[in-house]
Amino acid sequence: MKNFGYARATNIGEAVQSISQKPNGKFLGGGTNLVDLMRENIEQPDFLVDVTALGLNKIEELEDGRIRIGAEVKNSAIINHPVIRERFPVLAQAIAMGASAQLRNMATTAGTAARSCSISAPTKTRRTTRR
Amino acid sequence: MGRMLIDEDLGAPPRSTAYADPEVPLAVGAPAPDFEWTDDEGRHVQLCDLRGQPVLLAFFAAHWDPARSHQLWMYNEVLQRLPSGGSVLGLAQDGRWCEIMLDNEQTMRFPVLGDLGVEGEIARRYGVAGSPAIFVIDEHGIVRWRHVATDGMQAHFDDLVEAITPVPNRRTVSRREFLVTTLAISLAAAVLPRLARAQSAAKPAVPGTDTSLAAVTLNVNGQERTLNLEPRVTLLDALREQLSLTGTKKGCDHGQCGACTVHIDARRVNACLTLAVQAEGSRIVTIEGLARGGELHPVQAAFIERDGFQCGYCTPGQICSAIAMVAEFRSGMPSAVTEDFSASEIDFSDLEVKERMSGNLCRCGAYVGITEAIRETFASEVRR
Repeated sequence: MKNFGYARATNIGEAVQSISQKPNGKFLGGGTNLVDLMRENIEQPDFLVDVTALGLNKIEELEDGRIRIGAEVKNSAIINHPVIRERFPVLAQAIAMGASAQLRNMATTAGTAARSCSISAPTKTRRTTRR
Repeated sequence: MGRMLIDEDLGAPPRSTAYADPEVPLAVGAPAPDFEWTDDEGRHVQLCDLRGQPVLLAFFAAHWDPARSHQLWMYNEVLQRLPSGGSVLGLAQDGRWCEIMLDNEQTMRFPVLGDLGVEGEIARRYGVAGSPAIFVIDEHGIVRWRHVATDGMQAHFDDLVEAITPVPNRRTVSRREFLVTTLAISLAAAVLPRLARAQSAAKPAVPGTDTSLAAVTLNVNGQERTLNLEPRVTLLDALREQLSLTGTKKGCDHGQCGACTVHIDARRVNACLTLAVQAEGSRIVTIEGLARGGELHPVQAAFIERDGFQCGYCTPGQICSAIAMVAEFRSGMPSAVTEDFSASEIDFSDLEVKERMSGNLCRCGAYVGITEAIRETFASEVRR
């Protein structure tokens, strides 16, 4: 793996500021996908901004009946959330069917969403990864 | 990513200067830089005062903790190769004194002088600023062997046998003599603490571009351990290569097989996809940290009882995974095979166990025993 710099941002402003200074930097969530791709040299960022400590780890019920899932919320927390299980069971079931329990304990909502977007576009990925 | 730091230097001519490049460990064959310290009775002692006897000089990371298995292991590797063999059973620190317990029931006390020199100056002179290292210096003050625990590197202890085997006309060093004359110095020379503190103070508040070694403190099995790591070092490699906790296995190294499963803050994760720096500030538990006072964790005992393994390679990951899995189940977490996600009661069936353990592969196919072991543990917990 190519070496890189690392910093853990403590708030959104800091995260945005640091990534803006790094043309070849990337945000790091759970790392289940990015670290794997970096090991294969498919991804070669020279800086990682860890965004798992920004305080975006809450699942909130909104007044209009919707639910807001924080970017850092782990996949496993979504599966086990009582409101999601009761009112949005398909979401919980879908996530329970992806990857393994270990990976679901690591993978974040934002990282999973970002990965899903990148899968839909042509990628250089050589291997099939589950997440 | 590891650099070989021993073989390349064997047989190299002695350097003309005793001062090493701070980035390059002092070569085998080089004269050992002298330094001075104050002994327990207030006398000034210099390394060169010990000429005529071999000296073992060790550099360890900040917050020297005698219970660290890494340090114990490094000493044991050295001591076991002494002419009369033997091993260290334990190290304990009492203020400025260190006690070392040997397998022949002897206990020896050595002074620990703490950090020497300004800003880790001695570690710099030996070219090991930021890395745990051991040097064997012969009776003429020449470095005969060294081990620098740089990322991903294994020590070549076989070279050490040669280094400490007496040459003709050199009298044989007894084990006790070696210990008495050398460990006092080696344990004393924990010069890194100040350096490590200086490095952590220098960490930029706003992320910089530094890709080099940084001090990372990991809480592993209840002990704080400070390592100097590059950001790219995974938790798995840090555990295995730096902390010598080799119970956690490297299987696929891609997060698919589960052999590297450890607990971070009581949740099971793949250590191969976790950067060690990400785990700073969290509680890490590995297979080595499950037993309590010599008593196996119930899941460990059940794996033995039920033949939950054949070759054993996947077993540490299976066991760590199983323990967290049972806790997840108790928290009411459903799985992909749970029929009703809104149900409050889930049956702890074989199907549930297999699905929940699907992140751990066993190429021997010991799944029947694994499933039985987990169900037995669960059932006995319920009975209690």
